[in-house]
Amino acid sequence: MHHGNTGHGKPKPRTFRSFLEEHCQQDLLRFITCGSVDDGKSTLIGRMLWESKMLFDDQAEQLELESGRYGTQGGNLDFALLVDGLSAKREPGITIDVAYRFFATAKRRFIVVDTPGHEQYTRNMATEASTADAAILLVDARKGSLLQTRRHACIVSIMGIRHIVLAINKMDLAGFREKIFTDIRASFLPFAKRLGINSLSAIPISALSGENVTKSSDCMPWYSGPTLMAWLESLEIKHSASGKPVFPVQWVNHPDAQFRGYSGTVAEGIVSKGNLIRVTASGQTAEIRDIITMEGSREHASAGDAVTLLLDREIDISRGDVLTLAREPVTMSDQFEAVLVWMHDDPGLAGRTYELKLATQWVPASITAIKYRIGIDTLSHESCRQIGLNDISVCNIATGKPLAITSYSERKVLGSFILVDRYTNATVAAGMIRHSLRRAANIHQQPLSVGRADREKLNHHKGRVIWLTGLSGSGKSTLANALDIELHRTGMRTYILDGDNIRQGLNRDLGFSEADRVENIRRVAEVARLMMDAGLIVITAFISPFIKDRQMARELVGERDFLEVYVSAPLDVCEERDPKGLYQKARRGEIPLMTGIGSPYEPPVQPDFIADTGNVPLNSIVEALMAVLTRRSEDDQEIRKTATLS
Amino acid sequence: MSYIFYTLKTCPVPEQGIADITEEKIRCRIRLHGIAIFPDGVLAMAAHNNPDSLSDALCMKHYFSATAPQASTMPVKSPYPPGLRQLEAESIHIMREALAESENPVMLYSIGKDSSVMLHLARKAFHPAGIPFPLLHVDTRWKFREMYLFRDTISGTDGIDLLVHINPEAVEKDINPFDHGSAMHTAITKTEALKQALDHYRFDVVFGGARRDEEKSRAKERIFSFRTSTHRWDPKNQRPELTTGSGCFPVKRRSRKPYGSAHSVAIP
Repeated sequence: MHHGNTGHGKPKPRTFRSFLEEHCQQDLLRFITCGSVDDGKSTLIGRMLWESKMLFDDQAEQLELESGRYGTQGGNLDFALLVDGLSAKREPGITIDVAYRFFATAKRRFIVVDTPGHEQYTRNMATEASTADAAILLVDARKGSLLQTRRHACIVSIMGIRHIVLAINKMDLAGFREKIFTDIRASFLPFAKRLGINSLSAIPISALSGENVTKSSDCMPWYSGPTLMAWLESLEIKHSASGKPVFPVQWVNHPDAQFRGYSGTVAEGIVSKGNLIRVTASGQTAEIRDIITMEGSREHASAGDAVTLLLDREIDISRGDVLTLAREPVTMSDQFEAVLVWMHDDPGLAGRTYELKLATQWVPASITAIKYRIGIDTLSHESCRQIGLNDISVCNIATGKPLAITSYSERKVLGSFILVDRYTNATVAAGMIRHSLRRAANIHQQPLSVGRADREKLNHHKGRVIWLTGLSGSGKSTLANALDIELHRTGMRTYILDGDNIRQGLNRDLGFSEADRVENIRRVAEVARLMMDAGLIVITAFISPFIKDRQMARELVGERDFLEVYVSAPLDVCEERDPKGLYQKARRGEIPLMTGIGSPYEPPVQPDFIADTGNVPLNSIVEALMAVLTRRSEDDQEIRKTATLS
Repeated sequence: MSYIFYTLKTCPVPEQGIADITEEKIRCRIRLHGIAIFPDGVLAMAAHNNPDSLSDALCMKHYFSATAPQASTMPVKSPYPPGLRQLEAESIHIMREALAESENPVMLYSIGKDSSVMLHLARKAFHPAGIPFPLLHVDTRWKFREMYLFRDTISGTDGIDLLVHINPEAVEKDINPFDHGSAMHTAITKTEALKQALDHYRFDVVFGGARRDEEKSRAKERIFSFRTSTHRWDPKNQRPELTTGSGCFPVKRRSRKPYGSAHSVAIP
């Protein structure tokens, strides 16, 4: 069924069984090809598919047909057409997204990932590099190594690919001259050294005419090294760096009372029947009683095997737990330093909360500090306040609860994670952990003898945070003041945090950029929480225009103690009131980021209370809010009673 | 010369089937109409057991019923290349991950070879529990009858829950490949019907099996290729995936919408 088109190659196996036997020694190598636009990636992959005879007759026929119709090689076969699938990409003649191809030689099966060359697809390249064992960096012999090649080399080394080859392509257009090859290699070597790529292979090729791809080139007798295919076949595949077993639990297999197994993939090392394992989070241990697969029970399972473990005793294990050998535990940490590859148009900001997924664990997490951005071409450290699309930066991350982690260099599976936007569910960043900043086991809250409950008892009321949000001029400060008076009159201890007052002191250093607004709200939320802990009812009056940031405040304070009040008035009403003359200034262009005019306001989706200051008189609003607060207190008492009873 | 194809309504239950189609009836037909018979299912078994007794009008390129007990063979113990073993393990990992993070998953099942691989992988992933999600057959009504028999046998075994959806419009207008062309038949009975079923059952993850080289755009599918709530796919704007071995990729993005977009899972 496969066509035989080139002179090279082995005789075809005659029977299915001999085919299987021939292939039973093949292992699997994943590699990526990267390079700039028009370096010839698609042509190279097409050539490899063609020469490994992995094309079916109909595909070969179609290639001939399409080469005539769309080909860029005169009457000759245009191998790039084998790879370039979607018409959208064919039109401009560039590869727009990642594509996967399979081929095999007698020694090995290959999955090749074709990654986009364009700079705006750097994020795609980074993700694909995370899966690969090897990388081919393609360079056009006529152009030498470009900024983009250095960028790719940098990403590839950050993602931990150990085998990298510089394939200097289009040697046919460079007269097959040795000097061109050695010059490009020599110019790239120092950069590779700085990336920690110590043994860099370089191979002169022509993907178009097939020189040094699978057969040694007669045109370049000065080159005596392996062909590209020989290089790929000879690489040693090493899946595990540490060799210490890690088993992230994916799923509890519990069909009936008789069977309770823990399904997952052994990430590293080997586990065997009888091994004593430890659940990282709880510290509980148990012995592996059996290793189950559909083919039957097994003595051992090694890295990459998807199995189900049975333990000798009942311990509490659920999805997200990480099992290790009891004598080789991994640490838990909730703060670490990591390299982030930013993958989204929305910038990454310190203080904003994301969902973090590491192995099978999900936790809320935030960037606590952006340390620097890595300048890809020079590897310099550049300071920055926010992380943009395709930026590679070093950051500190804090998670909502401790995670089982290691460094990326030690174990990829526990050292890599993604950040997901909580609202759009978009994956915004990929991260590689460098090291833990502290061990969660060693940090405890400073124990205090007098607690919040004691202070609340003394006050005869609970501490709360009443968070007013709304446009400038919607009446936040007015409402805060009226509510404060009413609460104070009924004997409650209160405090108002007002936007203008805070910005004159605590947050004097902050401007109105998005990053600064996030930090502004974070600090206010932290202060409000401390004051609430001191037993006060805190009223905050900030525009706080972004849903994400109010959500951050809500989580910091706690759902039960947080009361989000949407102070709602139409923009034209606010503009008419304009108590501080800000709208007038904004309309004159003097305040570029004025909320409602130059910067958006995201109204709450489900506020705890809506204060319609445009239509309802102030005293009615205050009355209604007091009722809400009373109801909340009654609910709390009810909850406490239920808790005591049970 | 013209040919007329038509289906002999044999009964799926062997005893009745054999009793029903007597040799004499068949001989009679051949004498009268000069027809050629392509035996199928039960008739194939009968013909195979007694090849000399029937006319040479029988075209003996028949096959056993896939569901008949005689046809079942022991699985071949074949050498198992490490590369394939790795791909199988990765597929199992993906299936478990998709199950764990979805609320209402389903696996597409078309009775074909890709579906068979998927079905087998799913059984392996959740063994000894049964497959913890239903299969969905989007029925074009133009499969070989043997395939329907096979499907019905599958749906009865190992607690497999099989849903079948046929586009009611296709039934109403009797859409078929001969009168309407295969493109229209495919669009209405496959593409449209699939969208109807996804909307009806509100699945949030859909497993599907396809070869990377089947069509060029399949090479662009991610492990989790997100579709919009109107089932559109934007291959230029896909969510990045970080798959470090058995590592980290998001399945369900904890959609807060009551009804998230339909996702499909392609197994590498």
